[in-house]
Amino acid sequence: MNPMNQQEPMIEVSPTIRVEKGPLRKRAVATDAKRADKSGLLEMAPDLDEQGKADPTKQTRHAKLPDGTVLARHYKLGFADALGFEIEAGKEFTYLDWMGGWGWYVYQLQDVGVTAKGEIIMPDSPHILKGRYDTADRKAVKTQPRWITVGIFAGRDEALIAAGELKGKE
Amino acid sequence: MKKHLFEDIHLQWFAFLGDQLLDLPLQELETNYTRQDICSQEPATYTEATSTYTLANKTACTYTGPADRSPNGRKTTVDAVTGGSVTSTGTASHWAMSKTTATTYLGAAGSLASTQGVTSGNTYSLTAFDIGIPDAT
Repeated sequence: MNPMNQQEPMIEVSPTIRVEKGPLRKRAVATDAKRADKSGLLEMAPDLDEQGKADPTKQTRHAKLPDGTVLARHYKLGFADALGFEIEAGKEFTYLDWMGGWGWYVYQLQDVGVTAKGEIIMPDSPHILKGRYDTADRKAVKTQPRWITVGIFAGRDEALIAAGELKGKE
Repeated sequence: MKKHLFEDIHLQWFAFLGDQLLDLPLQELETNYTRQDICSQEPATYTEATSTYTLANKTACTYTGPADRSPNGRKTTVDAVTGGSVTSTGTASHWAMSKTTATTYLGAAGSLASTQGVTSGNTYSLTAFDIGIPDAT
């Protein structure tokens, strides 16, 4: 395991600002090529179980991207990517880089809008990738407190400085 | 469902690691990581699992294990959940198990077998699933 990937305790900067370490979200193109290099890694084709079924619970090997990035085992064709969309060959998908470099997330407790159906309206932010939660109906009838990503940093100190600046504005 | 934090431990430098050692993190999960969240996307942190992307949750979840894992290694089974609270409407794609007492941590996360629409105010059920650690190779 990459020692840079080890978890660390969450840092509560204030009752409404916190900093936490975690894997970064990245994008890549999925391929349907199936090959094994000498390390035994395959490109994105899922392992089949005894019944010949591609079961996300029974993946034993890691896929590897052409640039050498090793993915966590559940990122395979036909399975959900990190945003909850199906991974398709030749198309971009989103993954959490559990095996690679982690970053530091800064979160702020905000009142977010809730639609009449009970859907959360996520704020427009470069730090929040649109997943299945994104609703076309963005008319809020009430609000709900949620911790929202307001910054992502490579280093702990950078994150703490940003969090401190945010706290100063409260 | 893939379990990032434990299945991706690289044990390749060891020819052997006893079951009693593989069981230690699994027992930690069983004892302390008892909050389950169903999320709209894969959470990277405890905060994302329990707040940012949560759609539903169940506390005081139980486990059965540790036990032998197939084809090798050890596992624990998160027992089936019923009556979990759906707090937001959306499409659930991932699950997460978190520790909420003392120092909070995201313990494990993975994708659901298939995405599922959930409606705020309803309850959810989830079948039992395994979290495992393969043998050293």
